[in-house]
Amino acid sequence: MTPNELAYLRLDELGRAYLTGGLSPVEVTEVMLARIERLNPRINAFLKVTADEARKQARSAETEIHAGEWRGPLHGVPVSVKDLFFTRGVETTGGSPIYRGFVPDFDSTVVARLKAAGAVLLGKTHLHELAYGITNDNPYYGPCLNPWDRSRIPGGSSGGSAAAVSAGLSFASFGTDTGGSIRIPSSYCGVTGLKPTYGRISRHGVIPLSVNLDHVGPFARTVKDAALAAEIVAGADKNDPSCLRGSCPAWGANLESSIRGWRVGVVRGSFIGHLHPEITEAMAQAERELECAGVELEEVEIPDAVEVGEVAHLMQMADGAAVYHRRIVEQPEAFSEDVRILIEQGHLVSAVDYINAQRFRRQFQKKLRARFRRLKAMLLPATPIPAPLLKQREIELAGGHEDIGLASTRLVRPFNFAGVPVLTVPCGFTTERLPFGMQIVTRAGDELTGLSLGHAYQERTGWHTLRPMEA
Amino acid sequence: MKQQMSETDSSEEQVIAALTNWCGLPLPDDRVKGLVPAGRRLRQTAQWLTRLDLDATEPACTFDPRIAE
Repeated sequence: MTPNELAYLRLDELGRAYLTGGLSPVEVTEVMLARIERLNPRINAFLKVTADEARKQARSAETEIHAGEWRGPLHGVPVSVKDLFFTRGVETTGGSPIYRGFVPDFDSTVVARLKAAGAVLLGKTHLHELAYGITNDNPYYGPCLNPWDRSRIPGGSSGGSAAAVSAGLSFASFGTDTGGSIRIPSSYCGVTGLKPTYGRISRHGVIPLSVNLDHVGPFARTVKDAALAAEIVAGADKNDPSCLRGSCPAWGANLESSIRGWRVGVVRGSFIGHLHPEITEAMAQAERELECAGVELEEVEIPDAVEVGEVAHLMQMADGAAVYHRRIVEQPEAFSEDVRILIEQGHLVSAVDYINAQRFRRQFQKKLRARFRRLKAMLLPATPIPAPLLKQREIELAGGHEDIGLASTRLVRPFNFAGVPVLTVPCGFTTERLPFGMQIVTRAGDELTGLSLGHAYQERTGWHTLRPMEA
Repeated sequence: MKQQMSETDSSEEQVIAALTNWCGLPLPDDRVKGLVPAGRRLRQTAQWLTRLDLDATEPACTFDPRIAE
């Protein structure tokens, strides 16, 4: 097996190889570190590579596996986390000078659970400054670039994680999603990303942006790998009062159920707006694939979807301003202009506006729940466009111009607002070989339905198996 | 119309300056001016919300673990 082939193994293949002695965590970690050394300068997916610690963790995993102490599907597996996750003894920057030099003295719950599972932490991935944007064009750490086309953005704010998984520099990675920050880079980088139910994965030790809208979730190259990675870190956490109570269901082991007869909605209406024509075509093809698998499709509209995006924006502005109020007063120069103006405008949201937004949120959640009494899931594109060029501000779509930020977020925002789980899977490529993804939305608490649909889709298609770059 | 637009802008700037100052974030004039478009966007959303029939008895908590129950 070549190093390139090794770097793209699935978790079950890696696990089997470890248990049979075909591969070892030390060997795999060295391959990944060498690959990062060669390829990361081209895409800047990692802000920090924790090579020494990774080697130590790999040796420990190898010893345990040889002794028959198998911890599960992430044991000895090289993974990464967005540089938003506190990692004990490792600088955690949030992509901002505000946190430069900050070395946490405890692990976030996600990192602690990854370590408990025996994972090998390769390093901290690139992000948009303070996770407050979708380009990952970070003025302090340089831009992260899309492995499919390095003149383009990977999407954000978890662009480093998506790029790392896409380029075979990490078998899985964890990011966050407040207004699309897992789903947008999943689409732009051609990987699988899961924004689970709000509160499914603990946010303890994760630098916050919006208490209402922040979600933690995994990136991987397959749905099954994303499911396995997510369930390892998910579940109740006494350190995060917003975490769902109870343990996480077993998703990875339950993906094989038949989807025949499932009623699934295809989102239509003004909310969808204009799409890149190849995305329109690919979505139609994806719908046909699912119909061939026995799914019954019907059209559905999302109530008040356009207004929901604006209310989510209002809420996010206020939440972000509350997090950074003191800093923006004392050190306004520590923020880039793009982020500074977002934090400043959050101060314009009154308490009455905010409470109304929360009440509307309950109303929207109820209306969406009503849709799911009839439907098991809903489908729509993750982004209306493939990855824009670096520094591009507007995109031309259907004869008009749309701001890149608004275009990238308009199809994803309502589901942060609702807190429902959304899986994003690659569903096609443009003629310029740029990937894009499809969202599979399910009701709150029901990640398994979306994961099963996504898994069935990936069993019938090969978009997720294509690779952007060779070492 | 131009005069009205200037008056509108000026009053919007005054409101924004007053709001941010009230929140403990005094801003120079150029930054206040730069916030007018964003402020308008937020105000439109806020006004839309006030026209809805929202249940005033619904608890408006910042998170709700019942969401998945």
